[in-house]
Amino acid sequence: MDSLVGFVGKNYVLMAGDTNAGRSIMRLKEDFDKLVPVDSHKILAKSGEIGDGNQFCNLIIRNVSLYRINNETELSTKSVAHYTRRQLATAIRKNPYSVNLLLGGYDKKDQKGSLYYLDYLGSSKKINYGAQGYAALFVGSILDRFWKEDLDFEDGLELMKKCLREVEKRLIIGTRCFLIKMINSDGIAVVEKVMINSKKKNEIEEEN
Amino acid sequence: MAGKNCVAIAGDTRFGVRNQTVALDSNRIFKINNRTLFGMTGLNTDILTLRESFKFQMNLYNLEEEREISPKTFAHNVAQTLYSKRFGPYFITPIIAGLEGEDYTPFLCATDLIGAMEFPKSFVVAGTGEESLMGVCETFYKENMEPDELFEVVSQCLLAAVDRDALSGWGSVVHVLTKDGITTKRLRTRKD
Repeated sequence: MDSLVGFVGKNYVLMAGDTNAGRSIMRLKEDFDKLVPVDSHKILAKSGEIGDGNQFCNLIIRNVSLYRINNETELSTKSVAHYTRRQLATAIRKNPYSVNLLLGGYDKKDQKGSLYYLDYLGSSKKINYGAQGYAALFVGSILDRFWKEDLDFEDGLELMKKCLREVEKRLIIGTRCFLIKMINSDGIAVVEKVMINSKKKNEIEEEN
Repeated sequence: MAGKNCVAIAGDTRFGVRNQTVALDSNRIFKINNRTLFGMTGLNTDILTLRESFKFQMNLYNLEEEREISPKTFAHNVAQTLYSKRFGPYFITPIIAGLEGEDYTPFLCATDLIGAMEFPKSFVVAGTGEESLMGVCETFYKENMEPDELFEVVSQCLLAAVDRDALSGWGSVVHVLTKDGITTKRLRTRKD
Protein backbone atom coordinates (compact mmCIF):
# COMPACT_ATOMS: atom_id res chain seq x y z
CA MET A 1 0.00 0.00 0.00
CA ASP A 2 3.00 2.25 0.47
CA SER A 3 4.40 4.05 -2.51
CA LEU A 4 7.97 5.23 -2.63
CA VAL A 5 9.62 6.76 -5.68
CA GLY A 6 13.17 8.00 -6.08
CA PHE A 7 15.68 8.99 -8.70
CA VAL A 8 19.10 10.56 -9.06
CA GLY A 9 19.55 13.89 -10.82
CA LYS A 10 22.37 16.35 -11.41
CA ASN A 11 24.00 16.62 -7.96
CA TYR A 12 20.82 15.74 -6.12
CA VAL A 13 18.57 12.83 -5.26
CA LEU A 14 14.82 13.32 -5.29
CA MET A 15 12.63 11.02 -3.23
CA ALA A 16 8.91 10.94 -2.60
CA GLY A 17 6.63 8.85 -0.49
CA ASP A 18 2.94 8.81 0.17
CA THR A 19 1.88 10.05 3.60
CA ASN A 20 -0.66 7.39 4.45
CA ALA A 21 -0.15 5.08 7.36
CA GLY A 22 -2.61 2.25 7.32
CA ARG A 23 -3.33 -1.21 8.49
CA SER A 24 -5.47 -3.51 6.36
CA ILE A 25 -8.47 -1.46 5.18
CA MET A 26 -8.05 1.35 7.67
CA ARG A 27 -6.14 4.60 7.19
CA LEU A 28 -4.60 5.36 10.56
CA LYS A 29 -2.74 8.56 9.76
CA GLU A 30 -2.70 10.89 6.81
CA ASP A 31 0.49 12.82 7.50
CA PHE A 32 2.99 10.04 8.11
CA ASP A 33 6.53 10.82 7.03
CA LYS A 34 8.14 7.74 5.49
CA LEU A 35 11.36 9.43 4.47
CA VAL A 36 13.52 9.34 7.59
CA PRO A 37 16.93 11.03 7.68
CA VAL A 38 19.82 8.70 8.49
CA ASP A 39 22.25 11.56 8.82
CA SER A 40 22.55 14.99 7.30
CA HIS A 41 22.84 13.70 3.73
CA LYS A 42 20.98 10.41 3.59
CA ILE A 43 17.35 9.38 3.60
CA LEU A 44 15.94 5.95 4.28
CA ALA A 45 12.48 5.65 2.74
CA LYS A 46 10.59 2.83 4.39
CA SER A 47 7.60 0.81 3.30
CA GLY A 48 5.87 -2.21 4.71
CA GLU A 49 4.97 -3.03 8.28
CA ILE A 50 4.91 0.21 10.31
CA GLY A 51 6.39 -1.23 13.50
CA ASP A 52 9.16 -3.10 11.71
CA GLY A 53 9.93 0.02 9.71
CA ASN A 54 10.28 2.13 12.84
CA GLN A 55 12.42 -0.39 14.71
CA PHE A 56 14.67 -1.25 11.79
CA CYS A 57 15.23 2.34 10.72
CA ASN A 58 16.03 3.27 14.31
CA LEU A 59 18.58 0.45 14.40
CA ILE A 60 20.29 1.72 11.25
CA ILE A 61 20.21 5.40 12.23
CA ARG A 62 21.63 4.79 15.67
CA ASN A 63 24.39 2.49 14.43
CA VAL A 64 25.39 5.00 11.78
CA SER A 65 25.50 7.63 14.55
CA LEU A 66 27.63 5.33 16.69
CA TYR A 67 30.08 4.85 13.84
CA ARG A 68 30.35 8.60 13.45
CA ILE A 69 30.96 9.07 17.16
CA ASN A 70 33.55 6.28 17.34
CA ASN A 71 35.42 7.07 14.15
CA GLU A 72 34.88 10.82 13.70
CA THR A 73 33.87 10.29 10.11
CA GLU A 74 30.64 10.05 8.13
CA LEU A 75 29.79 6.85 6.31
CA SER A 76 29.26 6.95 2.56
CA THR A 77 25.88 6.01 1.06
CA LYS A 78 27.39 2.82 -0.31
CA SER A 79 28.59 1.78 3.14
CA VAL A 80 25.23 2.49 4.75
CA ALA A 81 23.51 0.47 2.02
CA HIS A 82 25.93 -2.37 2.56
CA TYR A 83 25.41 -2.29 6.33
CA THR A 84 21.62 -2.13 5.99
CA ARG A 85 21.65 -5.03 3.55
CA ARG A 86 23.72 -7.13 5.92
CA GLN A 87 21.30 -6.43 8.80
CA LEU A 88 18.35 -7.45 6.62
CA ALA A 89 20.11 -10.56 5.29
CA THR A 90 21.02 -11.86 8.75
CA ALA A 91 17.54 -11.07 10.06
CA ILE A 92 15.59 -12.80 7.29
CA ARG A 93 16.31 -16.29 8.56
CA LYS A 94 15.94 -15.43 12.23
CA ASN A 95 13.54 -12.57 12.92
CA PRO A 96 12.58 -10.99 9.60
CA TYR A 97 11.85 -7.30 9.26
CA SER A 98 9.05 -6.74 6.73
CA VAL A 99 10.44 -3.52 5.35
CA ASN A 100 11.31 -2.57 1.82
CA LEU A 101 13.57 0.45 1.58
CA LEU A 102 14.95 3.02 -0.77
CA LEU A 103 18.16 4.57 0.49
CA GLY A 104 19.12 7.85 -1.12
CA GLY A 105 22.20 9.83 -0.27
CA TYR A 106 24.58 12.52 -1.45
CA ASP A 107 28.32 11.96 -1.00
CA LYS A 108 30.39 15.14 -0.71
CA LYS A 109 33.51 13.18 -1.61
CA ASP A 110 32.27 12.09 -5.04
CA GLN A 111 29.87 15.03 -5.37
CA LYS A 112 27.17 12.74 -6.62
CA GLY A 113 23.92 11.36 -5.40
CA SER A 114 23.15 7.67 -5.29
CA LEU A 115 20.08 5.57 -4.74
CA TYR A 116 19.84 2.00 -3.47
CA TYR A 117 16.95 -0.44 -3.66
CA LEU A 118 16.84 -2.73 -0.60
CA ASP A 119 14.18 -5.27 0.07
CA TYR A 120 13.15 -7.30 3.09
CA LEU A 121 15.14 -10.37 2.04
CA GLY A 122 18.38 -8.44 1.94
CA SER A 123 18.64 -7.85 -1.80
CA SER A 124 20.43 -4.67 -2.64
CA LYS A 125 20.99 -2.86 -5.90
CA LYS A 126 22.33 0.53 -6.82
CA ILE A 127 19.83 2.11 -9.18
CA ASN A 128 19.40 5.42 -10.98
CA TYR A 129 15.65 5.45 -10.54
CA GLY A 130 13.15 3.14 -8.95
CA ALA A 131 10.18 2.66 -6.71
CA GLN A 132 8.86 0.39 -4.01
CA GLY A 133 5.39 -0.97 -3.58
CA TYR A 134 2.54 -0.91 -6.06
CA ALA A 135 3.82 2.41 -7.35
CA ALA A 136 6.71 0.54 -8.95
CA LEU A 137 4.34 -1.12 -11.40
CA PHE A 138 3.11 2.24 -12.69
CA VAL A 139 6.10 4.45 -12.27
CA GLY A 140 8.75 2.04 -13.63
CA SER A 141 7.82 2.57 -17.23
CA ILE A 142 7.39 6.35 -16.85
CA LEU A 143 10.89 6.62 -15.43
CA ASP A 144 12.26 4.29 -18.13
CA ARG A 145 10.89 6.64 -20.73
CA PHE A 146 11.60 10.07 -19.25
CA TRP A 147 14.55 9.77 -16.88
CA LYS A 148 17.86 11.01 -18.26
CA GLU A 149 21.29 11.29 -16.80
CA ASP A 150 21.88 14.65 -15.06
CA LEU A 151 18.36 16.06 -14.96
CA ASP A 152 18.05 19.62 -13.69
CA PHE A 153 16.11 20.14 -10.52
CA GLU A 154 13.08 21.71 -12.26
CA ASP A 155 12.90 18.89 -14.82
CA GLY A 156 13.36 16.36 -12.05
CA LEU A 157 10.55 17.80 -9.98
CA GLU A 158 8.30 17.82 -13.04
CA LEU A 159 9.14 14.15 -13.66
CA MET A 160 8.44 13.29 -10.03
CA LYS A 161 5.05 14.98 -10.19
CA LYS A 162 4.29 13.09 -13.39
CA CYS A 163 4.99 9.85 -11.55
CA LEU A 164 2.92 10.81 -8.51
CA ARG A 165 0.02 11.93 -10.71
CA GLU A 166 0.00 8.48 -12.27
CA VAL A 167 0.06 6.76 -8.88
CA GLU A 168 -2.83 8.85 -7.62
CA LYS A 169 -4.88 8.32 -10.75
CA ARG A 170 -4.42 4.59 -11.28
CA LEU A 171 -3.72 3.00 -7.93
CA ILE A 172 -7.08 1.90 -6.62
CA ILE A 173 -6.06 2.43 -3.01
CA GLY A 174 -6.43 6.13 -2.31
CA THR A 175 -3.10 7.89 -1.98
CA ARG A 176 -3.66 11.56 -2.58
CA CYS A 177 -1.00 13.13 -0.49
CA PHE A 178 2.74 12.81 -1.13
CA LEU A 179 5.82 14.25 0.47
CA ILE A 180 8.77 15.07 -1.79
CA LYS A 181 12.26 15.48 -0.33
CA MET A 182 15.54 16.33 -1.95
CA ILE A 183 19.13 15.62 -0.92
CA ASN A 184 21.94 17.71 -2.33
CA SER A 185 25.24 19.10 -1.15
CA ASP A 186 23.45 21.30 1.39
CA GLY A 187 21.65 18.36 2.95
CA ILE A 188 18.07 17.23 3.13
CA ALA A 189 15.24 19.59 2.22
CA VAL A 190 11.51 19.09 2.05
CA VAL A 191 10.62 20.22 -1.43
CA GLU A 192 6.87 20.02 -1.37
CA LYS A 193 3.97 18.34 0.25
CA VAL A 194 1.62 17.79 -2.66
CA MET A 195 -1.98 16.81 -2.74
CA ILE A 196 -3.08 15.41 -6.05
CA ASN A 197 -6.67 15.17 -7.18
CA SER A 198 -6.93 13.99 -10.74
CA LYS A 199 -10.61 14.82 -10.95
CA LYS A 200 -10.08 18.52 -10.38
CA LYS A 201 -8.90 20.77 -13.17
CA ASN A 202 -6.00 22.16 -11.15
CA GLU A 203 -4.96 18.73 -10.16
CA ILE A 204 -1.95 19.45 -8.03
CA GLU A 205 -2.23 21.70 -5.01
CA GLU A 206 0.73 22.54 -2.95
CA GLU A 207 0.00 22.15 0.70
CA ASN A 208 2.16 24.03 3.13
CA MET B 1 31.48 -23.86 -21.43
CA ALA B 2 34.96 -25.34 -21.94
CA GLY B 3 37.19 -24.92 -24.95
CA LYS B 4 40.82 -25.65 -25.74
CA ASN B 5 42.71 -24.33 -22.70
CA CYS B 6 40.00 -21.75 -22.18
CA VAL B 7 36.61 -21.47 -20.48
CA ALA B 8 33.77 -19.01 -20.83
CA ILE B 9 30.95 -17.98 -18.51
CA ALA B 10 27.98 -15.95 -19.72
CA GLY B 11 25.06 -14.64 -17.76
CA ASP B 12 22.19 -12.22 -18.08
CA THR B 13 22.06 -9.01 -16.06
CA ARG B 14 18.43 -8.70 -15.06
CA PHE B 15 17.52 -8.18 -11.44
CA GLY B 16 13.81 -8.70 -10.90
CA VAL B 17 11.23 -9.62 -8.33
CA ARG B 18 9.02 -12.28 -9.87
CA ASN B 19 7.60 -10.57 -12.99
CA GLN B 20 8.78 -7.04 -12.17
CA THR B 21 12.19 -5.88 -13.40
CA VAL B 22 14.07 -3.71 -10.93
CA ALA B 23 17.52 -3.25 -12.48
CA LEU B 24 19.28 -4.11 -15.72
CA ASP B 25 22.90 -4.15 -14.68
CA SER B 26 23.28 -6.66 -11.90
CA ASN B 27 26.47 -8.67 -12.07
CA ARG B 28 26.32 -12.27 -10.97
CA ILE B 29 29.66 -13.53 -12.26
CA PHE B 30 32.67 -12.87 -10.09
CA LYS B 31 36.39 -13.29 -10.56
CA ILE B 32 37.94 -15.26 -7.74
CA ASN B 33 41.48 -15.12 -9.09
CA ASN B 34 43.20 -15.21 -12.48
CA ARG B 35 42.30 -18.88 -12.88
CA THR B 36 38.75 -19.04 -11.54
CA LEU B 37 35.42 -17.50 -12.39
CA PHE B 38 32.37 -18.02 -10.22
CA GLY B 39 28.78 -17.37 -11.25
CA MET B 40 25.58 -17.72 -9.25
CA THR B 41 21.88 -17.59 -10.06
CA GLY B 42 18.98 -17.51 -7.67
CA LEU B 43 17.95 -15.32 -4.76
CA ASN B 44 19.76 -11.99 -4.95
CA THR B 45 20.24 -11.67 -1.21
CA ASP B 46 21.98 -15.06 -1.01
CA ILE B 47 24.12 -14.21 -4.05
CA LEU B 48 25.34 -11.06 -2.30
CA THR B 49 25.84 -12.76 1.07
CA LEU B 50 27.80 -15.64 -0.48
CA ARG B 51 29.83 -13.29 -2.63
CA GLU B 52 30.98 -11.48 0.50
CA SER B 53 31.53 -14.77 2.35
CA PHE B 54 33.71 -16.23 -0.42
CA LYS B 55 35.63 -13.00 -0.88
CA PHE B 56 36.44 -13.11 2.83
CA GLN B 57 37.42 -16.79 2.71
CA MET B 58 39.59 -16.32 -0.35
CA ASN B 59 41.37 -13.32 1.16
CA LEU B 60 42.12 -15.43 4.22
CA TYR B 61 43.25 -18.35 2.04
CA ASN B 62 45.62 -16.08 0.10
CA LEU B 63 47.13 -14.73 3.30
CA GLU B 64 47.49 -18.12 4.98
CA GLU B 65 48.61 -20.23 2.01
CA GLU B 66 50.48 -17.46 0.17
CA ARG B 67 49.18 -18.75 -3.14
CA GLU B 68 46.08 -18.59 -5.29
CA ILE B 69 43.36 -21.18 -4.81
CA SER B 70 42.86 -23.71 -7.57
CA PRO B 71 39.40 -23.95 -9.19
CA LYS B 72 38.88 -27.51 -7.96
CA THR B 73 39.60 -26.59 -4.35
CA PHE B 74 37.36 -23.55 -4.62
CA ALA B 75 34.53 -25.70 -5.99
CA HIS B 76 34.83 -28.03 -3.03
CA ASN B 77 34.81 -25.01 -0.71
CA VAL B 78 31.58 -23.80 -2.32
CA ALA B 79 29.98 -27.21 -1.94
CA GLN B 80 30.97 -27.41 1.72
CA THR B 81 29.63 -23.93 2.43
CA LEU B 82 26.30 -24.79 0.82
CA TYR B 83 25.98 -28.14 2.58
CA SER B 84 26.67 -26.51 5.94
CA LYS B 85 23.20 -24.98 5.48
CA ARG B 86 21.63 -28.29 4.49
CA PHE B 87 18.41 -27.68 6.45
CA GLY B 88 18.04 -23.99 5.72
CA PRO B 89 19.79 -23.61 2.38
CA TYR B 90 20.99 -20.70 0.35
CA PHE B 91 18.70 -20.54 -2.68
CA ILE B 92 21.34 -20.32 -5.35
CA THR B 93 22.78 -22.45 -8.16
CA PRO B 94 26.51 -21.82 -8.51
CA ILE B 95 28.79 -22.48 -11.46
CA ILE B 96 32.56 -22.57 -11.19
CA ALA B 97 34.72 -22.33 -14.31
CA GLY B 98 38.49 -22.25 -14.30
CA LEU B 99 41.79 -23.37 -15.70
CA GLU B 100 43.46 -26.05 -13.63
CA GLY B 101 47.12 -26.85 -13.28
CA GLU B 102 50.25 -26.12 -15.26
CA ASP B 103 48.69 -26.97 -18.62
CA TYR B 104 45.60 -24.80 -18.06
CA THR B 105 43.15 -27.68 -18.35
CA PRO B 106 39.57 -26.39 -18.42
CA PHE B 107 37.63 -27.12 -15.25
CA LEU B 108 33.86 -26.84 -14.91
CA CYS B 109 31.70 -27.53 -11.90
CA ALA B 110 28.04 -27.01 -11.14
CA THR B 111 26.32 -27.71 -7.85
CA ASP B 112 22.75 -27.61 -6.65
CA LEU B 113 21.59 -25.48 -3.75
CA ILE B 114 22.94 -27.88 -1.14
CA GLY B 115 26.29 -28.55 -2.71
CA ALA B 116 25.99 -31.71 -4.81
CA MET B 117 28.81 -31.32 -7.32
CA GLU B 118 29.13 -32.45 -10.90
CA PHE B 119 32.20 -32.00 -13.11
CA PRO B 120 31.19 -32.20 -16.76
CA LYS B 121 33.77 -31.77 -19.47
CA SER B 122 31.69 -29.77 -21.89
CA PHE B 123 29.32 -27.19 -20.39
CA VAL B 124 27.26 -26.35 -17.31
CA VAL B 125 24.05 -24.37 -17.09
CA ALA B 126 22.02 -22.81 -14.31
CA GLY B 127 19.10 -20.49 -13.78
CA THR B 128 15.47 -20.08 -14.70
CA GLY B 129 16.27 -20.80 -18.33
CA GLU B 130 18.42 -23.84 -17.68
CA GLU B 131 16.36 -26.26 -19.78
CA SER B 132 16.56 -23.99 -22.80
CA LEU B 133 20.26 -23.45 -22.18
CA MET B 134 20.86 -27.20 -21.90
CA GLY B 135 19.24 -27.86 -25.24
CA VAL B 136 20.98 -25.16 -27.19
CA CYS B 137 24.40 -25.80 -25.61
CA GLU B 138 24.12 -29.50 -26.45
CA THR B 139 23.48 -28.59 -30.06
CA PHE B 140 26.23 -26.04 -30.54
CA TYR B 141 28.99 -27.43 -28.36
CA LYS B 142 32.00 -29.05 -29.94
CA GLU B 143 35.31 -30.08 -28.46
CA ASN B 144 38.51 -28.06 -28.47
CA MET B 145 37.15 -24.69 -29.47
CA GLU B 146 39.54 -21.78 -29.62
CA PRO B 147 38.67 -18.71 -27.49
CA ASP B 148 37.09 -16.70 -30.34
CA GLU B 149 34.87 -19.55 -31.41
CA LEU B 150 34.05 -20.35 -27.78
CA PHE B 151 32.93 -16.74 -27.27
CA GLU B 152 30.64 -16.93 -30.31
CA VAL B 153 29.10 -20.23 -29.26
CA VAL B 154 28.53 -19.18 -25.66
CA SER B 155 27.00 -15.85 -26.71
CA GLN B 156 24.63 -17.45 -29.19
CA CYS B 157 23.59 -20.10 -26.69
CA LEU B 158 22.81 -17.52 -24.03
CA LEU B 159 20.97 -15.21 -26.42
CA ALA B 160 18.84 -18.03 -27.75
CA ALA B 161 17.95 -19.36 -24.31
CA VAL B 162 17.10 -16.04 -22.65
CA ASP B 163 14.77 -15.15 -25.49
CA ARG B 164 12.66 -18.11 -24.54
CA ASP B 165 12.65 -17.46 -20.80
CA ALA B 166 10.45 -14.68 -19.49
CA LEU B 167 12.49 -14.07 -16.37
CA SER B 168 15.90 -13.82 -18.06
CA GLY B 169 17.40 -11.28 -20.36
CA TRP B 170 17.63 -7.49 -20.30
CA GLY B 171 21.32 -7.52 -21.15
CA SER B 172 24.09 -10.05 -20.79
CA VAL B 173 27.78 -10.29 -20.09
CA VAL B 174 30.25 -12.89 -21.36
CA HIS B 175 33.65 -13.60 -19.77
CA VAL B 176 36.25 -15.69 -21.60
CA LEU B 177 39.13 -16.94 -19.46
CA THR B 178 42.37 -17.98 -21.11
CA LYS B 179 45.90 -18.23 -19.79
CA ASP B 180 46.47 -14.66 -20.96
CA GLY B 181 43.60 -13.26 -18.89
CA ILE B 182 39.90 -12.55 -18.88
CA THR B 183 38.06 -10.84 -21.75
CA THR B 184 34.69 -9.40 -20.88
CA LYS B 185 32.07 -8.33 -23.39
CA ARG B 186 28.53 -7.11 -22.95
CA LEU B 187 25.84 -8.20 -25.38
CA ARG B 188 22.56 -6.60 -26.18
CA THR B 189 19.60 -8.88 -25.78
CA ARG B 190 15.92 -8.31 -26.30
CA LYS B 191 14.56 -5.96 -23.68
CA ASP B 192 11.48 -7.91 -22.76
